[in-house]
Amino acid sequence: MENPYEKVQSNILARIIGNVERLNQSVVILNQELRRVNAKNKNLELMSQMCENYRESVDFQLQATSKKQEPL
Amino acid sequence: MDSKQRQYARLAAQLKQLRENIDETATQVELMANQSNMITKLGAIQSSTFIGSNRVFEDEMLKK
Repeated sequence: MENPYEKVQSNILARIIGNVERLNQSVVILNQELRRVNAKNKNLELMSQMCENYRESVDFQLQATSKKQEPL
Repeated sequence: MDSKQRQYARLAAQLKQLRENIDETATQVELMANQSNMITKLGAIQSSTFIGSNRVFEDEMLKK
């Protein structure tokens, strides 16, 4: 007894596989772009770390010499 | 039957790769969120420096 829905199921499965393949390609492109953007922002991150370290150093220095003023 | 098994095997392979790709995406997005926080800090420090230097400049001008 042949399953009458065999052909339909096979077609649907083929469509699902095609869609997953396209999704995979899109996610690969998304990953590439994310990697590119993160690499470009790396220098900004380093600069931010430097400024933050400088701020902490200044903060400590002002507290140690008790010259720290109240904010406005 | 054989064709169906092949299709399912291909689907499994695709889904495995999809999972790996999405793990990679999650890592990258986490990295990006971290960078965003640091850039927010950089902006705050720059604006504080600007306001502070403006105040010092005003004091210097008024002293004269």
